Amino acid sequence: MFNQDITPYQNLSILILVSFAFQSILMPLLLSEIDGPVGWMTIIIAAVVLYFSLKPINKLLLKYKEDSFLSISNKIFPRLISRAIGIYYIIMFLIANSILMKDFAEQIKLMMLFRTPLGSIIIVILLTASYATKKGIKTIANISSITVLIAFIPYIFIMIFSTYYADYSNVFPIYPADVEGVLKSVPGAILGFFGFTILLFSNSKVTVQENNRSINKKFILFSTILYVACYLMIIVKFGIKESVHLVWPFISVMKYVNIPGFFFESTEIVGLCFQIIVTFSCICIIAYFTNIAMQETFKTREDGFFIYMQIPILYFMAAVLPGMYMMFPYIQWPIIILSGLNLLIPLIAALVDAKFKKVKNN
Amino acid sequence: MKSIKILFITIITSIVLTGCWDSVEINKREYIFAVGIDKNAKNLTFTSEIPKINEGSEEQRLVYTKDCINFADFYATSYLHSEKVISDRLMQVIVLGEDLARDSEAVKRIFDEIQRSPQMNRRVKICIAKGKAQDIINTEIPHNPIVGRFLSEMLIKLKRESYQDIYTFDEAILDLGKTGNAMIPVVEINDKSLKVERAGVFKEYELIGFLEPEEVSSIMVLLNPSKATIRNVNITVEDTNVSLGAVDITMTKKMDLSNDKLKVDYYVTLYSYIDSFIIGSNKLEDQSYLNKIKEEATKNILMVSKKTLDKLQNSYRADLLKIKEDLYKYHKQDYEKIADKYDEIFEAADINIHLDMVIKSTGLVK
Repeated sequence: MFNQDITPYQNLSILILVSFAFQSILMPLLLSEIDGPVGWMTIIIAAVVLYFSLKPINKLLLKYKEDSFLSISNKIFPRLISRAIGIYYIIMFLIANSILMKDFAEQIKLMMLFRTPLGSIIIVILLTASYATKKGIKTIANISSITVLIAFIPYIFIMIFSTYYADYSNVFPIYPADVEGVLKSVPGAILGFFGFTILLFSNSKVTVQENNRSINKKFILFSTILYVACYLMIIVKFGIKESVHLVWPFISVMKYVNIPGFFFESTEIVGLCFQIIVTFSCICIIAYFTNIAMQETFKTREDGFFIYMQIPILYFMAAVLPGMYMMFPYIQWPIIILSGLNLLIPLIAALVDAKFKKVKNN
Repeated sequence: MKSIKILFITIITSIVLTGCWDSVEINKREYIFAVGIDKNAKNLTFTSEIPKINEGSEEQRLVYTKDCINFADFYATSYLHSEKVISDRLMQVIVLGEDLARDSEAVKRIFDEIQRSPQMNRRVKICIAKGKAQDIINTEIPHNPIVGRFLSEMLIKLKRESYQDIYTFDEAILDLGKTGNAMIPVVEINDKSLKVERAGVFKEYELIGFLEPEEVSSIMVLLNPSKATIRNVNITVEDTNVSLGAVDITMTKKMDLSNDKLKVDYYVTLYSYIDSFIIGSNKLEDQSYLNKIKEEATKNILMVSKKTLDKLQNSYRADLLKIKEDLYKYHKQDYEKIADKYDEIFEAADINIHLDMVIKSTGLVK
């Protein structure tokens, strides 16, 4: 129905934006699980794991250029397994999107619309996001690339300005590092690179597929830099002891924005507005790829109408689920499972495909 | 189909517009500039200062005093007592009364409420009242009648010059969280005005004593030598009064923690100018006289520093020098061994200041 092609750089902006949203949601986990300000080590380990995992996955995706990961799994796995994989991705996307939406709605309520019911905020976000999602990948890709320019970059600048009264010695002590804590929080950090899962679906939509390999690597690189920079920014501002208590470290950092000569009374609200655009784009992106996952699992010709199925599910889940910060004590295992599956499913698929090819050649 | 679309848009618009249902026009708001909190027999007494911004008379103010349990209760009560809506978004200063500051539970509750609030800015300035906070807020300053503005401008000025370490709530809570100790400015009534000279020593959210201006200055040299502003050194050498102004300070520090014995050495070099001497004397051309000035000044500064260190180590047992933080950051392994008994280690610590005085200039005349 709509033009389904996106440029490599639109793909890159989609991947970076989605990862950034989840990195900020999962940041408190990284701050609280490690004794000392060495969470950046966890991020680097997670990035290295993902970087090396990308090689076989890139190969697989390039081999089946026109297919998304679910179409590929339909080809290489038995029907039951491929259906299970499809259903896993649908459920995972729905959970991820509802958590993102809930957190986002709570931030808006707490900072801007104090008396507006949370349900009203969620339904407004949902209806607006579903309109953009229905328009297809082209619209979403345009929203993402514009978001990077008009919101994401200024948002990062605002964050930088908020470190005006920072204590840079807070990055110490580095040695001795809490090795156990660092390793224990790697699954959470891997889940923070949510773009890694999205690229399994988005790469097939890119016009120049040959660039995907380098774009995927660039995504890991940029996302790592952003993740580490944001982590360090929170650390230098608050120190590790105070950071552990924060529900939304990013929002708290914005409360200190100090731009010389800036004329707005509440700069944190300006920062929050940028974040609203960033998070809204991410909700659209995930909702779209949930549509794609549904289309390929249930083998339909159209994907757009699945958004109508998503709206009540997402609304119900976002309304019922507690905020992410309330779930932290209970989500250690779910995070390990989700991040393990997100990493292992494509890797196993790549392995199976390589074996399949070998057998065929023999 | 068209009517369905119109209906849909109407419903969406009405939902979106809900965001405005609690909007309040600016002229229907009262902006608190300063709030003083005191302890009373039962609860807390909140004294708020609200400038009459909306009426165009910036130099006039309203002062309300209410007995409440906490900030939330104060806002709720204020809402019922005024036709306008109280807003704390522009709050400049929070003044804690001395009695309140001496009650760690009350301080913890207030700090927690400020920290938790999405509306209140963590960069709101904070100070301790010598006596009652209510008296500070009620002070009539002829040239700058809005106490919140006066204190805010004063604290910003002092912060810029690094007279003290902490000026905002954010800095106070971060320091108390990291080290358990903090030095918060003390505001006092000064004739028909206010002054901020001394500092209150906080330990575990409790005011345990005060530091005099020269003691604050000594601590600031050790805490932030590159920015610290120290007062002139006034000495008498061979019956002549000499005043030295510090222009630059450099410092290195050495820490050693072994067998529960902490040794800290501060090596300070103080570069100074001769600010005042006496007309008709050429003694400043004589190197031996200059050396005498240096010796006397060093003795003078070290005497105050030693007195301050003694006060911190023995009277207050409060590590305002942030040695604990440095140990955690740069000697973590050693620190972890003594973390539980740090107060005793600090009390018995051997802290030495080695001062090297350099007279850079004698001013515009020899």
